[in-house]
Amino acid sequence: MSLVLLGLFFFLSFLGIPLAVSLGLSSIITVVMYDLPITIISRLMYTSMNSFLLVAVPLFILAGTVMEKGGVADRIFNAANSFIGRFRGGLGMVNIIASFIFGGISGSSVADVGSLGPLEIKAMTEEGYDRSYSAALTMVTSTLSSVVPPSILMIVAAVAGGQSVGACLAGGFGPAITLSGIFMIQNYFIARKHGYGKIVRRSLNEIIRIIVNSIPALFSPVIILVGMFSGLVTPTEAAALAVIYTVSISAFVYKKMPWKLFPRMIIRAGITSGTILLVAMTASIATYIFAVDQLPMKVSSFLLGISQNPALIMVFMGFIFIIVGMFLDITAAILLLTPVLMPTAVQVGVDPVHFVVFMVTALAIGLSTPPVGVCLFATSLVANISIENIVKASWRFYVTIFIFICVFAMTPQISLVFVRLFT
Amino acid sequence: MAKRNFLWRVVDSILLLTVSGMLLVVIIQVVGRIISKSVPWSEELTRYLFLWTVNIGMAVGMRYADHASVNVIYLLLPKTKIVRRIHLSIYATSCVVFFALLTYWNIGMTFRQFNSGEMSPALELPMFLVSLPLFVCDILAAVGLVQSAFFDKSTRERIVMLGQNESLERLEGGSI
Repeated sequence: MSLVLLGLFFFLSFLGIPLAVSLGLSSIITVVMYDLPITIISRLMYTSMNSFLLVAVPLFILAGTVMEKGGVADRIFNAANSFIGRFRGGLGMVNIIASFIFGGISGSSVADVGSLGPLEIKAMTEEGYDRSYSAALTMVTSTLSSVVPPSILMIVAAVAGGQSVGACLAGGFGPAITLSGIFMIQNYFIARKHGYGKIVRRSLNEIIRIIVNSIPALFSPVIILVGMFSGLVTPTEAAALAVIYTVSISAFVYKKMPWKLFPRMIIRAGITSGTILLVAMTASIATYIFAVDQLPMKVSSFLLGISQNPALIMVFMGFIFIIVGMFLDITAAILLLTPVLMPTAVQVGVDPVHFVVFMVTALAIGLSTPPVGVCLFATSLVANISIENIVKASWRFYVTIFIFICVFAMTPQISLVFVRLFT
Repeated sequence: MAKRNFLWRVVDSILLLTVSGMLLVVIIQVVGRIISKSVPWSEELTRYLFLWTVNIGMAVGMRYADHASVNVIYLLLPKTKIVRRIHLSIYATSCVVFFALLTYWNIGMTFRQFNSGEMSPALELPMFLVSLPLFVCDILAAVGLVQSAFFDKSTRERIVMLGQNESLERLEGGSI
């Protein structure tokens, strides 16, 4: 039953039918073929969206767009630049840190490329960085936004896995911080080898001015995260506060709030959530079919037949995530893989929160790889370089990430330290 | 941005209202808790507005051809008129069938709720209002799909020629 469903799904989606529709049609066909109750289809699609937690999705998307258009992204970039831009390879580091902070408010990787990308690539090429290297670094770091809390993908995954949204978001700090650190070291050596980046001295006054100017922008992730992890507000409420806060500072502090575009931005957030969550709606039917077919149990007995070692099982799953993430939309991948693989992981003693964080991190890499990585396409547009050149310039980062994923699979502490710290 | 006729302007306005409404109600909920005047209906109303938002957003996404799809096979095939026509017909037929089936089933669900006269616990709204967006938006999505595939050149090009007319707006539209 599940194999019929998956086979149909891959066949239909490769014909160019939208993923949500392919998944829906293949689920419907399976339901009809195996005489499952048809009324379940409406009910599942309805209940999967009757959720207060998922309300955070449109609100965080809106916060990200406001940041992008309202001058907050520029301030983050300037602040990071004044601090560390003057070291060897400094702008590369700025790129990494700015993406991290941006991800701390918006949770959308494509928004990161769209708003920070042009600034970062321009600044880096002006200081002698190779254009394709600048683009590659921008692209790779943008995937951090999908891991740094509040990440929209992490919220979807936590809801799909029935885990605490707050705990999963907190866990995202682990891989995000570790990956940023690794990227910085790697960037330093690459910059030193190629002599990238001028050493620019700034006066203390100038640095202070830029920092003061950017405090409101830098404060937004703090407000969101402290509010959420102190238990004062739920993730959904934090998302609403993020919107109000970013709108306020764009309007009153930076006076760059594009009010005329604001209604359009709100509508856009609704459309984006609708297109993403239609996948979630149809995936709920697929999940039901998997459960009826007892696919999770079949998969677990297969995997446990190979090995009972949690580390090995997680590394194996990491490979699955990376490969699936390369070919499938991340939301769809999360919603299909969570119900199938999570029971096995939990059975061998993997912490469910670690599983969710690990899955999102490994899948998020697919955002920056060919053939379907949206961040790759977006970077190619923003930097005006062919996709091939970016991929060629990124291979070192792909290797790093791959090694990191293997290590992360075996070291749940990376994510769990932060879960314990914050919750 | 694709052309919008009267229907889609109205739909966009409703979407504007539901998303702003969610934002407002969640803020009211937070403020209510801070001043210890809890608002019993806020969570429920937010969920209902969200159901409308997701379904309308999905339909508008159909109109603008924003839904994510895998077009690798068409990048490998020669870009001839025949291939494009086949691509477009597969896309349109499958989506129309999908939304037609959903409309049929979802009308059934809404009717059952209407007949049962079930009310929501906090707001005491009739429950059929909550499942109503499902079938209404399935019809809207089908209409939007036909418009985007056959009556609007810009969205039709989006559907069949991914990679050539790719814009950042489209990338941001269907993905996070």
